[in-house]
Amino acid sequence: MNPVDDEQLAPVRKIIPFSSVDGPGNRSVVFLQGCNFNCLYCHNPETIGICDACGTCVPGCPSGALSPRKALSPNRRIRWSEPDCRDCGACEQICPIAASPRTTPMLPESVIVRIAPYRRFIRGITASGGEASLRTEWVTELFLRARELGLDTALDTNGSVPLEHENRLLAACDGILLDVKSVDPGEHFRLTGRDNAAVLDNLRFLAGSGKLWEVRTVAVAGYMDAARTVREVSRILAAFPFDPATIGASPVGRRTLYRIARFRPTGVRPGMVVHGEFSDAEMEALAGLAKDEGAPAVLAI
Amino acid sequence: MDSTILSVITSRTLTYEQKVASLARAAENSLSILRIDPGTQALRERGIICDLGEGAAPYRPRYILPDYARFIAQGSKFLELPPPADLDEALDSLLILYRHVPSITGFPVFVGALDELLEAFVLRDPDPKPKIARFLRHIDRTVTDSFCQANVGPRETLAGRLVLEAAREWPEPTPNISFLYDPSTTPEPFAELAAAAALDCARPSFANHPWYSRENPAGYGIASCYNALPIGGGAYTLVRLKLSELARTAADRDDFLSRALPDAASRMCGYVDERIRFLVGKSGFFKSSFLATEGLIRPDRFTAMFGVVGLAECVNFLLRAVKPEERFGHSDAAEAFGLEVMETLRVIVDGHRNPLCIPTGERFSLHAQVGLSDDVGTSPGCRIPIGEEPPLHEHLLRAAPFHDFFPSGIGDIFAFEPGAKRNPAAIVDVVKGAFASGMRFLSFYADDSDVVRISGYLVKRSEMARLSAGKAALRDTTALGRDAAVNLHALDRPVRTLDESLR
Repeated sequence: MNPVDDEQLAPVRKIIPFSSVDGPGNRSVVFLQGCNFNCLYCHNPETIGICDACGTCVPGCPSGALSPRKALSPNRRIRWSEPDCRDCGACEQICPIAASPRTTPMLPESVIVRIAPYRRFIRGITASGGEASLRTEWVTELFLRARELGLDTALDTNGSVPLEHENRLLAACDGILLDVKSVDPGEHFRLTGRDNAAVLDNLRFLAGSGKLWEVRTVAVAGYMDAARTVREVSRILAAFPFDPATIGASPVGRRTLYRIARFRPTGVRPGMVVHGEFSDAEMEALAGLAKDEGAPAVLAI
Repeated sequence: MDSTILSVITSRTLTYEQKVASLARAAENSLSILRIDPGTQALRERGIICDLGEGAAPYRPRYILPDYARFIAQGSKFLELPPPADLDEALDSLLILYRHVPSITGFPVFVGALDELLEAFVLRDPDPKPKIARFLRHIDRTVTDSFCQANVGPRETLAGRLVLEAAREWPEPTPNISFLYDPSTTPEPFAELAAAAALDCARPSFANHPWYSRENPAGYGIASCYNALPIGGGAYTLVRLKLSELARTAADRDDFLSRALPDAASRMCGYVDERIRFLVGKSGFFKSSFLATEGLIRPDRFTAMFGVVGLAECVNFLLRAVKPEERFGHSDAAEAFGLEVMETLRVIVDGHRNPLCIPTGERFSLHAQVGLSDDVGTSPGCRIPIGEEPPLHEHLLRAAPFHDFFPSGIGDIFAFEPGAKRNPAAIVDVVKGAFASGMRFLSFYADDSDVVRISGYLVKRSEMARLSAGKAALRDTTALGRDAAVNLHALDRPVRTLDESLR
């Protein structure tokens, strides 16, 4: 059995009430702990692993917010006292497995209780991570309950879990924000430690589904053929430029946005720092390339 | 008085116009003709009751919102202007009229619902945008005081778009703009344009149109900072009650609610009555002004504003709230007591009748006053003190319950990271939530903007820097802004982010 949760509970790393960068409009975002990719440029590497309660971090907490659970506790994990936490991140720096003790096992209902006071100020929720699609059942329940509050639902995913036959999840999900790190399998493996076949299958399937709100590529100078990925993703998006049937069906009801994000060597693990940052002109050129290849909406930041 | 006058005359930082206004104020204040009882006078001297520089002998209403639509339709005999025939004439006529709209500062506080006033002319004009832009620039350079508002919305019009686009392309403090927003009818892209403009140049603010139009069935405008008042009228006067200081005269919270507050509030009502009596009965304003004789304003469209400042400090003082989690804006107990203070005050103010305040049912209209530039230790209206604001999502929920009390205006201001510009729809979502939660008025600006909102009015950071370097500044609000930045930390609002990262 997974040491952290059973099927009803998911380890929630953080709930952000307001976000403007996780889909259209203002949204609440639920970050789940645990990811099956290990991206070199991950800006939140502490969300990758699942805490195995080894206790290494406990003495390293300067505010005494961490304590070992009693050995007999059914869910063996480190106890984290949120009010005492100064958010310094020392525990995550110390962690030998890129995990965080600062997670809370939660039911979808308990997440909804946290979000409900802000429901008037947001148009939807986004499940992110970590990798939210690793917990399709839990996320589906979360989405169904969010809809009861009148909110739309978005899944932010690395695309590693094939979604084409996840009918319950897709029915509960209004939009998908899909990362395509690289179209080249070897390059993808170097960047993430995983193959990209499922990601590309998801891209092709979702592009025609009317639910693909956004595709994101992080452009790393000198480490990947960014132009190639931008070109090929744009071509796939161009094949489904505008499905009039979906207009108005979703709260966005619009073209897929292709967001090309500039890699910035801050806040990432050592090792990636050596790689460069694209200049403004180079980012503009990538955006131009995406438009030339027919991507219906492009944002390079 | 002689030394005041001489210091005005010999000032090196006041412009000629600013000197003339200061001299007129000094002359008015040399009179003492209002009947003020000693108890009220004592409260005035302590700054608990304050008329905000309105002067000792009111000879014009503080806030005038002329019926500009009527002016466009009929022209003006007094100004010898026929009704305008095209956009050029309409803009020219309005600029002429603005010159003749009185106020406390000498500058108009309201320049009209520009979209509705101009739409018919804009649609017939081959190239309206440069004309609208020049018109706005003319207002900015001649109304050299940013307590001046234009309104746009809720309907989407070409004129409205042009005003917002011009405001965005040429960022200036004047006119301040309010976007009268109705989430159920205003088209989403138009609201997003307004949000994008707000992040680029700190204007417009968003006004809860469904609510304000319900309260003002005969029409309203947003004037000065955020004052919702009847069009074709306005407010005779605005006097404010400084709750933060009044609290210090009370033995405890019960003494405050049962003695100090009712006493001061009823004295202030009497003082407002006296100012209205002199203005309407003695000054002859409504008999002589062409605005009145030509029907652009009517006495039955005027009310008076009962202002409030420093609720946060009042609550914190009386509850002895010292720990951050006990203070106003953070604790349920502080919120409950704040609401009790306001409810008590509302009962007193609503219980006082003045038959000259016709649009508001012969009652004064409560107003959350934005403060003066030397209000050290007193927060505007019911605002959470700068430096103590909770995160945005909590701030909105804490601020909302107080908006109901203030039909003539209350508002909260939020500074955002420039990154928010990439998703103006998120700002619109926040506004929708705010309105649905009972808020009347919200303002935003991005932290990298040269034009910033101080307490309600706008100033340019670059002009404040010029003034601080000892050079004369075009707008008198620049000096107020600079002082407020120093005294009230008005530019130290927390910068809100809607793209908080995980850590």
